[in-house]
Amino acid sequence: MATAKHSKPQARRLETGGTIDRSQPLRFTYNGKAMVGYAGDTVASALLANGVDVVGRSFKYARPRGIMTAGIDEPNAVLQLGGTRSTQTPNVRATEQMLYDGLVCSSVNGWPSTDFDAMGLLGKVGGEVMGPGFYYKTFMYPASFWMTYEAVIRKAAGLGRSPTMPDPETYDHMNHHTDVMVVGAGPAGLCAALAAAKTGVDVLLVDLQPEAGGELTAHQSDELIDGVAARDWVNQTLSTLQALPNVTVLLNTLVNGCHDHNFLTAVQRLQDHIAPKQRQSTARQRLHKIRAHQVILATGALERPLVFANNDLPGCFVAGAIVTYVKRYAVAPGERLVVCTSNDAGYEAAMAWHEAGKEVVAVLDARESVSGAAFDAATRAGIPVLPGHVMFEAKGKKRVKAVCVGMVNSANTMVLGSVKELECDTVATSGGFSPVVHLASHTGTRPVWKESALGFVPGDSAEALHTCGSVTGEHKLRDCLATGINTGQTAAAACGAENTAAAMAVPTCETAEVCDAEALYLIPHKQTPTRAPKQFVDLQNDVTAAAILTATREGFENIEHVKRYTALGFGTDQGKTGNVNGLAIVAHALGKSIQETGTTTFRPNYAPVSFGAVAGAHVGPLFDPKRFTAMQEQHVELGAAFEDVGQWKRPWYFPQGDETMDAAVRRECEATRTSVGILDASTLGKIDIQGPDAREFLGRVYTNSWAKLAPGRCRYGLMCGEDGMVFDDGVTACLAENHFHMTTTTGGAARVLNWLEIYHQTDWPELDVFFNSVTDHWSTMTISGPNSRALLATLCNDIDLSADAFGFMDWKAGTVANVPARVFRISFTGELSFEINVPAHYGAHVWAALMEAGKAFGITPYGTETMHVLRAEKGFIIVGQDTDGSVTPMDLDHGWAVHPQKPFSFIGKRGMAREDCVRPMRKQLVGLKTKDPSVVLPEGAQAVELGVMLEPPVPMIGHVTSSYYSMAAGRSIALALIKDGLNRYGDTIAFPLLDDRIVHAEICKPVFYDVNNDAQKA
Amino acid sequence: MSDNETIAVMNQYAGDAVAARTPLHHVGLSELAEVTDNRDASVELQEAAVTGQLILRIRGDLHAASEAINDVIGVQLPNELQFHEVTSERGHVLIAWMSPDEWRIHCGLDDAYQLEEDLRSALSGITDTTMAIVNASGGFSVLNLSGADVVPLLKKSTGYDVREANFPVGKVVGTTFAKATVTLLKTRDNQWQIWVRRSFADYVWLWLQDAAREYGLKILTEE
Repeated sequence: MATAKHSKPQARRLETGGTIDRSQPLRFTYNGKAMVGYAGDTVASALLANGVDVVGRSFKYARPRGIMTAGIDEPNAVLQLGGTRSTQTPNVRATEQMLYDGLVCSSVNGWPSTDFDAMGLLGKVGGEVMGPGFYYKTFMYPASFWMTYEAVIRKAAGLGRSPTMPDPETYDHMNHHTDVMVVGAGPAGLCAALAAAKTGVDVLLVDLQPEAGGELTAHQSDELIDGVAARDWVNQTLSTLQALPNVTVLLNTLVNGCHDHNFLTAVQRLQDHIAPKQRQSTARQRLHKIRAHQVILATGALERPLVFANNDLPGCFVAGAIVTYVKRYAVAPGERLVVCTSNDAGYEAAMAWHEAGKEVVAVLDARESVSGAAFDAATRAGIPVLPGHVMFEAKGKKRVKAVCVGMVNSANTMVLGSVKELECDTVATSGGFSPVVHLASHTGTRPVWKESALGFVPGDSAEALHTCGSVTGEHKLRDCLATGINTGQTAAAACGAENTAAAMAVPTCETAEVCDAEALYLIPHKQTPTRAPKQFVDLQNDVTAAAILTATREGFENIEHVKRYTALGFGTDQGKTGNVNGLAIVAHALGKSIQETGTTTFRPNYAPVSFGAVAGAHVGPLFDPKRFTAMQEQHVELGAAFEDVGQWKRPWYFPQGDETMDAAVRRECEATRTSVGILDASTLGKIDIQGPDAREFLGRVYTNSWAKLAPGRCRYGLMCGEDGMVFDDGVTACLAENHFHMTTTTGGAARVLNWLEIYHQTDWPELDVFFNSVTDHWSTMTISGPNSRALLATLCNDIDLSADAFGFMDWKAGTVANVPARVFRISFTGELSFEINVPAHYGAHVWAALMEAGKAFGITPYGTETMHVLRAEKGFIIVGQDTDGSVTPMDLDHGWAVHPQKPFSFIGKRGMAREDCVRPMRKQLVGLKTKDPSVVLPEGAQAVELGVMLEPPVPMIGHVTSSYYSMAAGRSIALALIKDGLNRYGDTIAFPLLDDRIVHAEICKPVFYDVNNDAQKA
Repeated sequence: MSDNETIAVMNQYAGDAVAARTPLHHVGLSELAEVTDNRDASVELQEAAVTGQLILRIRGDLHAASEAINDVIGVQLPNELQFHEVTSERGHVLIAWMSPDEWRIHCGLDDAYQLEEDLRSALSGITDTTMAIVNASGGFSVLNLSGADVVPLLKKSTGYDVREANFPVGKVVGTTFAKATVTLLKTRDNQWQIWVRRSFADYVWLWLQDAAREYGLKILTEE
C-alpha cells in the first residue's frame, strides 16, 4: 500500500503556509480509509497531504495513476463522490472538489482495489487488444468478434457509476442580461471588469474558482501590484468590484458554453463544497443563462506537461501544480524533486519546493543557454540547473523512483551522449502554456498558432468577443494587466459608454527579465516511441505517442481523424493537458507545421456539467405544465382518474370505491344513455371570431359551406390541410351575423388559432376578421341523456327548452344557475345534449348547481373514456385517433361535409382532388362487428383478408382505430380504416393478434346506436 | 346593421350573489396568508380578485381610435410595450398594449359589459377602422409580485431582460415564464404583475413557490 509508509496523518502537510484553515480539520474517507484534511483543501490536496499516490487505474492499460494537476485540466484524479446510493456523483475532479467534513470518495476504475488491481494483469492483455483505432477496426471484423471485445471493454472501461436512486438535490436556472461579460477573474479579467465597470456599464464577472485571482491566487504570488502583494491586490480589486451596483460577480462558476450571439451558459456550484447534510434546501447548482452585449474572454492558459517515457507514473506533476500544492495548500507531495522544463515556469516549482525545505535534485532545462531572473534566482538558491538537458524516462512502479537524464540536441529531437539516472520521488514538467481557446472556438472560430507564444490563440470571431491576458499568448503579468484595462474600456465603449477616458490607469508591477521558451512536446528517447516505454499524451484515454504515430502511418492525416482513431482528447477532461502535445507529434510525423495540422473542434461543454443543472427546476411536478379547468377541484373530490390530453388533465373516468375502469365506464355509459351524465368539456379549444368577413373566412378554412348559417344555429365542420387531409374538426356557432364561436379539438386549439392567423395574415389580409382565443374564458359542461332537458329546466327559466323552440344544433343565451350562459344544443354522445358555457370564474358554481339539481335524476359525471365509447357508438370520429394525417373527408365517408361548389376555394380542395386521393382502394373508415360479440379488438390491430396465408409478407388491408365494449349495442364495437371499406359492408375480415388468436369481424356502417338519430333530436 | 345586431355582445356578470372564483381559488391563498404573515420574506405574492378583462383589437386609424378611447376611459391607447392606468368614476381601469393590433383592458367585473358597449359605440363610427372586443374576464389569473427579491425571482423564471433600464415602471411584455406564456407588467418599483391563462395558473403557482424558496414567500390578500 502506497499510503502505508506515511502512517502519520497528513505526513506531507507543510508545517506552515498555505491558505488552508488548520483550526478546522475535516474528516473524509477515500476508498473506505479515514483521512483528515483542512478547510480550504481540495480533495486532491487533502489526498496528497495524506500521502496518497495512486488515485486510479488507467482506462485501457490499467496503469496506476496519480494526481497530476491542480485544476480543471486534471486527467487522472477523477473520483466517485457520495456516501449513499442517491448522492453518487461520478467523474468529480478531485482537484476541483472542495473538501467538506464527512466527504466520501473513491477511485472509479480500480477494481478490486486501486493499489492492487487484478485488472493490472488483464490490462496488458486488454491494452494490446485495444490498440489505436480499436473501436473502428472492431466493426470491420466479423460481428461475432464484438462479443469478445465487448467483454474486455466493459471490464476495462467504466469511468464512474450512475446513482441508482433519484437525486435528492435541486437545481435551477437564472437568466442574466449584461453589457459586458468577463470570463475569468485572473489579473486580466479583474482589470477588464474594473475598467468596464468604471464607465458605468453593467458587468458580469465569472470565474471557475472559489476565489478570484487566477494564477496569482493559486501560486499565492507575492509579486507587487500597485505596491501591494498580488494576492492582496486581488482581494482589494474584487472588493471594489463587488461593491459596485452595476457589477455582478459569480465565483465557483464554470462557463461551459459560448453560444451564438453572445449567449453563454455557466454552471455555478452553490453547495458542492458543503456536506450534503448541512446543505440548504435551495439549489445545489445553478445554470446561468447569460446574454451579453460584449464578451471578454480572460480565460488564461493551461500549463502543458512534457511527454516522456512512463510520464504517467504517480509523482509526475505539471510544474504549476507543484507551486499550487506547496504555496496554496501547504502540501509537498514528495521529498526529492526533479524539474524538467522548456521555459521559465519550471523554475517557479523548483523555488517553491526549495523554499518549503525540500530537496530539488535538479532543474533540467532543455534550453542550451539560459539566463534571466528565474535562472538567476534558482542558481542563487543553490539549485543545480542543467541547461541543454532533459529527462526522457521515469522509473518506478507505483511512484517515481528515478529519472533518466541526458543532453538533448538544439532542435530537441535527439538525446545525445551518455545518460545518467537521478533518484527522486517527484517530477515537475513544463512544456509551456496552452491558452484556453475553447470558448472562443465554440463560436465557430478556429484557433491560430502563435509561434512566439508556442500555443494556439483564439482566431477572429464573428461575435462581439474580446480577449485579454494569457489567452492571447502574452503571459507576463504586466501585459495581462495592461490588456485587461484596454479590453475592458474597448468593450465598454462598444456598449455605448462615453466616459472611458476617465477610466483607470494600468496598475504597476515589477518586470522581471524573462528567458524565451523553446518548443518541446515529446521528449526524445534513446529508442523510438514504439520501442520506448509508453509515452503518454492523453492520460485519461491512455493515448501514447506511439499510438498517434501508428495512426499517422495508417493514413490518418487529418487531425480530426487522428482524434477519433486514437481517442485523443475524448475523455471527461477533453484532452486539456494532451491536445497540443498530440498535435505537435502529428505535425512532426507528417512534416507539417502545427498551424497546418490545426486543432480539433472544441464544442460545448468546456468541462462536464451535471444533468441536474441542465434540467434545472423543470423536474417532477414542474417538468411540464399541467393545465386544469375551473372544475378541477370538484373532479378531484369526486375521485376522478385523470388522463393527459396535451397538457390538460382531463377526468378519464370516475371510479366509485374499488370499481375497475371497465366497470366505471359501463356505469357512466348506461347512466348517460338512460338518464343524464355530465362532462367537463372546458378543454375544447374555443375561438371567438368577429368581423364582417368572418363568415367568408370560415368558408375558406372549413370544407363545408357557412354562407347561410343563421344566427342562433351551429354547424359541424372539418378542417383540412393543403393536402386535403383532415387535421381538426369541431362545431362552430353563429352568435350573430358577424360573430362566430368556433370550437376545436382539445389538443388542436393552439394549432388551429395559428392556422387561422397565418392564413389571415399571409393569404387573405383583405378579409376583415379578428380571432381571439377564449378557451380559458369559458367553462363548458355538457349534460347529456334523456333527462338533460328536465335537469336544465330546474336551473334555467329564461330559455324555452322545448324541442320546437330549441332544436338540435341551435344555441341560446340565457341564465343557468343565476349565471349568464350560452347553451349549445349539440351532441357528441348521440343523446339529447346541452353544452353549457359560462365564464370560467362561475364554472365551479354552475357545475355544483348541476350536480345538486341532478341528484333527482341520478346525474353521473363521466370522463373522456365514456365520451369515447358513446361517440364511437354513433360513429363520431376523433381527429388524431380515427385519423392520422392521411385521411380525407371522403375516406371518412364525410363527403356530406365537403361543399366543392363554394364560390371561393377552400383549403384542401385541390389536395383532396389529387389522383392519389381519389383512387380506388384507399383506406376508408368503417365499423366492425366481431363475430364473437364479447371479443373486443385491440386498437391498432392489423386487418388481413380472411383465409390469407399468415406467412410474411402478409398483405395488410387496414387497422382498428377505436374499439370498445358497448353496453348500448350489447356487444363489442370498433372503428377501422380498411382498404375499399365503404364498398365492403357485410364482408368478413380477419385480425391476427399478437397472442396468436385470429379474430373475425364483419365490416359495417359505423353507427351502432340510434341509427335514425331520434335520441339526439328528442 | 348596427354593431349590436351583428355582434352578440353579452352581459356576462352574474351579480353579487354568485362569487367569482379566481383561478387559484383551490389553493386557499387567504389561509396561506395567515400562515405566512409573520414570515421573513423578500417576495410577496397576491392573486387579484377577478376583474373585467376585455380584449380590444383595432386595425385602421389608431389615432382616431385612441381619441375615442380617451373619451370613454380617460386615457389614450398606450404605445407599444406600455400600459396606462386611470381612475375615474368608472373605477380603476388599466389598458395595456399587447401587440400591434391588440390591447387588453382591465376594469371592474361589473363594468365589463357597459364598457364594451361604450367602447363599441365610440369606435364604431371611425372611418377605415375595424375592431373587435371580446370579454375574456374568466380567462386569466392576475398575480401581483412585490418585495426586494422579485427581480432575481423573475430572472429565474423568464429570459426577458428585467433590468431597470430595459424594464421601467409602465412597461408590459408578453414573454415566457418557466414553460408558460404570460404577460408581465412592472407596476411600481419592485412591484410586478403577471397575467397568466387560467389553465396555467396552478403551474405558475407551483413554479413561484419553488423559485421563491430561497427568498422566502409571503402570501398577501387583497387590501
